[in-house]
Amino acid sequence: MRESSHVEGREPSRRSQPRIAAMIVAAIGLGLTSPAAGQTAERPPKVVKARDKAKPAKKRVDLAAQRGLLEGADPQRAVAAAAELGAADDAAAHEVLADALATCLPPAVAAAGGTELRRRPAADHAALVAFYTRYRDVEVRAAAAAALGVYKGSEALDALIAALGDHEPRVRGGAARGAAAGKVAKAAPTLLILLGRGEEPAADALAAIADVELTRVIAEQVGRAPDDLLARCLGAILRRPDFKPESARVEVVRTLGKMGTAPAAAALADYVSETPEKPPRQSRREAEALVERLLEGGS
Amino acid sequence: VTRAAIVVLSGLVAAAGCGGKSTFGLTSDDNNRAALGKALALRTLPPQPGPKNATGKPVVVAALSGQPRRLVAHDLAAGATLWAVDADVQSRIEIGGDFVVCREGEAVVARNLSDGAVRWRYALAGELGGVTADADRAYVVVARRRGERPLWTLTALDGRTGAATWSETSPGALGRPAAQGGIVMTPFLKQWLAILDARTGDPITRIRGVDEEIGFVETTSDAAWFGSRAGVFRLDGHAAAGTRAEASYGSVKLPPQLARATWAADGFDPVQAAYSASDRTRILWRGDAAGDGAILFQDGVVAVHYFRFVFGYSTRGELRWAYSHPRVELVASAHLGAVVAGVSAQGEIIAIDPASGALRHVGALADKAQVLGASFDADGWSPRAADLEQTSTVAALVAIARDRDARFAEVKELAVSALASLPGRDVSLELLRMIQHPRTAVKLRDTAAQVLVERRDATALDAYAAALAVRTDVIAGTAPVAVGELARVIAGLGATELDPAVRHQAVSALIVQLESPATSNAELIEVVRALAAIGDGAERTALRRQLLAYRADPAFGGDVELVHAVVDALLAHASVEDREVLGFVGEDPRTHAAVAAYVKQVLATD
Repeated sequence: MRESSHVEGREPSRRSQPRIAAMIVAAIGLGLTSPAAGQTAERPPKVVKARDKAKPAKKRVDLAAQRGLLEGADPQRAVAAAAELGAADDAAAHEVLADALATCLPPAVAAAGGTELRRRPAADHAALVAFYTRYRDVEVRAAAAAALGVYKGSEALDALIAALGDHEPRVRGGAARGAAAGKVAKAAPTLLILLGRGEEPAADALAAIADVELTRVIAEQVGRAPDDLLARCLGAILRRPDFKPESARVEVVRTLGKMGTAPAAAALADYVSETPEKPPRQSRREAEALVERLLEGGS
Repeated sequence: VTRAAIVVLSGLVAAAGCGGKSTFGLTSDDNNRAALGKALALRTLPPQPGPKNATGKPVVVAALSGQPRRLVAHDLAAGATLWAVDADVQSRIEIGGDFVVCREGEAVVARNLSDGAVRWRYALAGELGGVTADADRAYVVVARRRGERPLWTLTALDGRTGAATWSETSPGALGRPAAQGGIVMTPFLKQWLAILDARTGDPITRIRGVDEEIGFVETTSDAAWFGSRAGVFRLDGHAAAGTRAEASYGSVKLPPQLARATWAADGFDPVQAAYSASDRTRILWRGDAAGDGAILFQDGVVAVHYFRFVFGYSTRGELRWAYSHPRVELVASAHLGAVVAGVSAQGEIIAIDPASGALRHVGALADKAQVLGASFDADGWSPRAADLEQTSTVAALVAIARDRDARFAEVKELAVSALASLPGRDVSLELLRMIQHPRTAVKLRDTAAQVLVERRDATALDAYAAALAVRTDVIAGTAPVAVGELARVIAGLGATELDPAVRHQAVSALIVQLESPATSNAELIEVVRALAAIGDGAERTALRRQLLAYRADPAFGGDVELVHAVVDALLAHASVEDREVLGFVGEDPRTHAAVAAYVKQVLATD
């Protein structure tokens, strides 16, 4: 950009950047409350601390430098900058990331940016992430859809549901993972349709978000959804520590027992092996008995 | 006479030792106007057109498949079977005065027209080249070998007894004959039409085709006709010229998709001496019986029977009407003057108005066996227009285009192309349905889209917009169909005045597809062009968004045509804001190199 400005015989207008950034935000219809990109362009460089699980010591991030890399012409360095900013335990770092995403980055950088941004979901970033669920690049859409589950609000929810209907399986998978991550119960009806069509991520997502009532609905899919996926889903629900009460677990065990298939037996066996004998659980006892019976070839 | 014909004929005449009464010799007084006048004077034509059989009833006689085969005579006026008998029919059926005649097994057999009973048999001593009949006699061409040489014989058989009344031999090929009111005619070596006295077999004259071969001769109740694949001559005084320019000649240039259709069965093809597939591709025509100059075709129309379909074409080659027969092919057809008649493989009998294509009659043979072929003697049959369900030409063309029979790809294309010239929103909607139908072949869909583009029918823009407003959603099971084609159709309306509300609807729908990730680059190019064509400024925000969102995307930047389409569309009526965006895109280091280069180029030259 700088070079071409020289070609025109004038210094690049730094002041024109906020206007262009605002224009982009407006053009792609992000609905942000303010032209964030423009504002950050005027901010003085700021150094913030970064979170790092491996190293307890806080890492300092040079926002201006990372922003320069993020908006530079080198995609690899831009992706690394997105990771750096995403890991920073600071809203300002995420603003830098959001600002850059709002100016439409190359696909690889946008995918990384969308993934990183969800570490600290801010309500006014939902529209930005939702925008990328409609992007042409599949990886970008998949990453955005996966990130979207942690955002609240109708715009995020609508975009997530729409992404579950994407024509690309990878995007649907991303959206299912997003729904699981955000425990988006309103995605359940769509996920049930996808489960019926044999989509694994939908089974996993349903297992993650199912409460007792949804579990009953899932159990009713016997004969409609593929057995292996249904067993996988019910087995995962059963193993969830937060899934209760015991009577609901017993119902799931009995449903798997009625299925009587190898995947159902495996799901019960996993439950038995992962559940301590004490305190004693009726669901575990019944599961154990069913596994033995199924292994003996009974039904 | 062609050099080849002379060489062949010289050799054959020498080998034969003699040429009979020089009827089929090398030398003859060809194209003699006086002799032709004498032949025409000898011919007696009925006072008015009508069936030539003695009962005067319009009849169709059909050969049916089975073991054994069946021969069925049907009274068209009464809609009733006259008779049906077992008969091993092996050739076309000819209807004489009070008899019908055809090859059955290894003999030519005549049967009473009244009851189908065998009247006489004539054992074939060779391969049947063709048979015809007039009121009193049957005439049979047989090809056989004498020693090493082939020999053709034209024999007249008494209609009542089957006795041979005369016979003429030829060292050169004779075609299927035709007889009419005292003369008998046969094509000879594809070069001549020999005319003989039907009572005696004496040669009267010969017509030599100067600039066209002579492959067939046929009669209607009011005239005789001969010709080739190229066209048809009327047998009148002008025929002595032997040329298309000076004789009474007619032809119609038909679409190449109907190239297989012929003016009559090839008189020299032994396969066509019997009913064959060629009977399903026939030009059906009726010319004026007299006059000077080119033949005037009745109603200015010729019909083309093409398997299940019949098309009416003006003499200028413009489609006037179309008929699509349900389910099965028509295996026989004839222009009877007042109607074009056809018989289907299932025995349905239809009559179509030759001028309008309206259905005038639907009947059926009583026997339900498969029909192999049929011959009409029904000139002038004019069934009263019954209260029949009529199919419009548009509906017929659409039915043809949608036909699932893969053999008819070219005819389907023809039908779609023909729709281009027919006005009306309904036609556009039918074409739209065709484009969107999942079973429409790619080539046909392209043709239909091109036809829609050429129609420039703004009255259907709302339908195009509705079709494009469909979003891709695998949960709902929805997806837009033929996005590129529809966008191309809409782009064709650029110069057309559009209803503002409908234009808005169309622009919105185009933007839906512009921003759908399911839209391919090739489709995007068409969508962008359509937006540029009809957007009237409403497209610019979406185009700016597109350029800004994808300027750094290699999938966009790598598609030169798409980049050019978007940038050109944006620049065409660029506002200050558009130019600022373009300037930014050109300078931004993240912008794909090809995008930046093109933007800079166009801005520099703008």
